[in-house]
Amino acid sequence: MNKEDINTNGFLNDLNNNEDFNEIIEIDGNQYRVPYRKVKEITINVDKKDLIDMPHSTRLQYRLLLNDAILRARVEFIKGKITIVYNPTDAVNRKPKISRDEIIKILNENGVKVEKDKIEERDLDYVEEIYKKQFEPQQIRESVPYGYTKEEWKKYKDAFWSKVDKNNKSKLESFKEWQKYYESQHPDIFGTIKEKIKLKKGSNGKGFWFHGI
Amino acid sequence: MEKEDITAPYHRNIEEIEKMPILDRTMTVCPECKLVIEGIIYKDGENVMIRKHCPEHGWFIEKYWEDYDMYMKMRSLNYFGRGIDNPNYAVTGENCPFDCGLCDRHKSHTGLANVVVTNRCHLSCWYCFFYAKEGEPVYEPTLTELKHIFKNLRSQKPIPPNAIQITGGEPLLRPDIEDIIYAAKEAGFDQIQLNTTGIVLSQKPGLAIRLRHAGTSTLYMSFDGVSKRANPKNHWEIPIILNEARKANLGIVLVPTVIRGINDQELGQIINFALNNIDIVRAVNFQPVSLVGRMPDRLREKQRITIPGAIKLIEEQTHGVIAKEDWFSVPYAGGINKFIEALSGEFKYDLSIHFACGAGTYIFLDSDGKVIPITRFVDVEGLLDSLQKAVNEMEGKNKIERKIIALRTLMGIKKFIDKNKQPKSVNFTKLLLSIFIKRDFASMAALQMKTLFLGMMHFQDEYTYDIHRVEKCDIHYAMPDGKVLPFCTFNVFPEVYRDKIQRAYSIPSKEWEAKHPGWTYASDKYHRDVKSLESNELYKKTYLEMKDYLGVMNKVQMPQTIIEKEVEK
Ligand code: SF4
Ligand code: SF4
Ligand SMILES: [Zn+2]
Repeated sequence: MNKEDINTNGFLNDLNNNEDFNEIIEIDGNQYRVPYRKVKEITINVDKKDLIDMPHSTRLQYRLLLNDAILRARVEFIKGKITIVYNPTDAVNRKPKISRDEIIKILNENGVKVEKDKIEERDLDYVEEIYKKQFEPQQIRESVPYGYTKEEWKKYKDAFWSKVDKNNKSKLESFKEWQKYYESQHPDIFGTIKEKIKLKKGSNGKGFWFHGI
Repeated sequence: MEKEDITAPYHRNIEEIEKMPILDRTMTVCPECKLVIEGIIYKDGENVMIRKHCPEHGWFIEKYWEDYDMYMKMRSLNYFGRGIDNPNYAVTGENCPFDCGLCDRHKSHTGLANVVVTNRCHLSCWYCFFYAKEGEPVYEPTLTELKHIFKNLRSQKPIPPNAIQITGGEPLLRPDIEDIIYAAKEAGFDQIQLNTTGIVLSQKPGLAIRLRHAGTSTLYMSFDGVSKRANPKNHWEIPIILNEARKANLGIVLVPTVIRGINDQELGQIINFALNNIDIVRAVNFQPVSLVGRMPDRLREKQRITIPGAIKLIEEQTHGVIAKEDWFSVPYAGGINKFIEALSGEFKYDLSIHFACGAGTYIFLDSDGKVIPITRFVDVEGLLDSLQKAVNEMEGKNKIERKIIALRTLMGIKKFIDKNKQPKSVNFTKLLLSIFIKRDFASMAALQMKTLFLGMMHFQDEYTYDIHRVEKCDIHYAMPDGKVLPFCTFNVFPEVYRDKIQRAYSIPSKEWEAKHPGWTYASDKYHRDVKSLESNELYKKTYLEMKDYLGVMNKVQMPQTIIEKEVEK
């Protein structure tokens, strides 16, 4: 981040004002750094003509996203709808912030008129509604293996997935065995190991390198 | 006929260009304002070019692929993958490339997951905007946070990625790097690559062994050339790194970034270098430079090189030992996986990236020192064609019928392999059958000991940008906020992806310094002792006692390069 950015988005002020803000959250006993808590979402219905067309809507979305305080932006040309998740000026956190008026100003500058009564605004819990959802995304469709029908797949998919689970577990076990063997080959690093360890076939811990990329 | 200047296709008038044959239409962006505009792919002599027009910023002309014949051949095997069933950001993706991700529209599952573990680096390359400079926040997710990211990747449906690249910054600056690698293994990744300059390995004897032990499969290591001039980054440390990796039996992928006029004269030498170290080097992955960011047009035109451009230079420099016909595009390999999937009914990795993104080939170093590309004894296209036909035929058939079709196809494999031309040390038919029937990839891994994979990937920039490519991208970055981003949006639009998200999840420098007493930005930096490195026996052995498998040695020394001038400065 360059100096100007730091000053224009008030980042340093936020840092000082909210020095005690603890970014760490806990989920299932694990601690993660998440910079936002309560943020806001606005939905604005606009005149499609102002959006011009799909490419211009896409570029408007890009321009909105350029702002660090705008966490999500969707400009839907077909629906004439703009949805923005942003870090509001009164939020308690150490990140850049933006006000609703500033957002409207950006839209106006890009030729999009905003009528105040066409704005809906709501509070949004960043951790629950964004962070957790991105880490545990919903399944929205079900693919089937090439050359198989949905009906065929239905019959054996449970068996397939349980086989995958089992494989994953045994993979780790054989890797651990390989580790022991490897330790015995490198006493200078891992110390001398008394028992003689033989390498089982297939457990070379190497994995198959295929992608080339 | 006199050869045209390589930058000539950039400087024709537009009326002339508009008369040239159109090969394809795609969507791209204006490099200036990012407006999504149409990209027209057209033929200009032997070049394939892309042109685009922004109503505000005018015309942009760029090389797309520097070989028309290769373009036509490769594009015949393009296919769409299935995407993922549980996209992390479930929007429709009509605003691609600004709806990442992965969104609902994305066409490939993660093939190789990149995870940035730090933005600290021990070098300060002049062209790099990525590493944390004095006073900037430090991006360094904790081990717990990384596990969260790994788990997220592995829960992708229906095909979780099994290959991951731990990257940075310099990942080896993290004291807990072994724990990170083991955590990736625990999460279920089979193939763990460590993207590093390797320099730390030359400083810490035994570290390579500990990394291998933790689960590292390969080092993915920058290597821009054999000479000092072409490779100022790690030329002097390479001999020690190779030695350390050898002791650890830790495979290496050499990764040259290819820039025309800078290191393009050393491509053959790089392959020869890899062949000289084939016991430990598994692959060379050439990356024609991606010219992201602003630079003068003239310089861009001069430095631009595309996949076929690099391939043709390799052909020239190796005197046809590795020719342009020897390469195939990545989706070719997808055909093999589709066949195995249709036969077994089990999901297999899709390699459904766009044909213009990547190419590869295998070369074999035979016992007599001869180098033989796979295509000289396998009719790869014929083989893939027969597999694809079988996949189509199997559709809707019952189990027994499927097996019969597969068997018939496998019986026919022999005819695609020319026994007389295959390396003396391999029986390729047997190998392929054991892969197809027993799915015994161990034999493939064993084979890799005598083979070298040559790969290419041309990462995009705003000039070459092709949305048809990026929507099929399978090299993804997994982010600390739970998003998964295609490499070529992450790095091409860092202002809305890479930098923006990492900034949000970074640790302010003050907090970082408080948590790491005594640490400074400068204390991370590496200081090279050239004299002592050059006097090392390994150095002499590595560079001076090389065999010349490809007739590439003793080439004229390179002119002083831009990089070197910068280094001198
Ligand atoms: S690149 Fe992929 S994830 Fe990103 S917007 Fe396009 S289709 Fe969606
Ligand atoms: S990283 Fe870029 S070049 Fe590679 S597959 Fe993805 S879009 Fe293509
Ligand atoms: Zn423009």
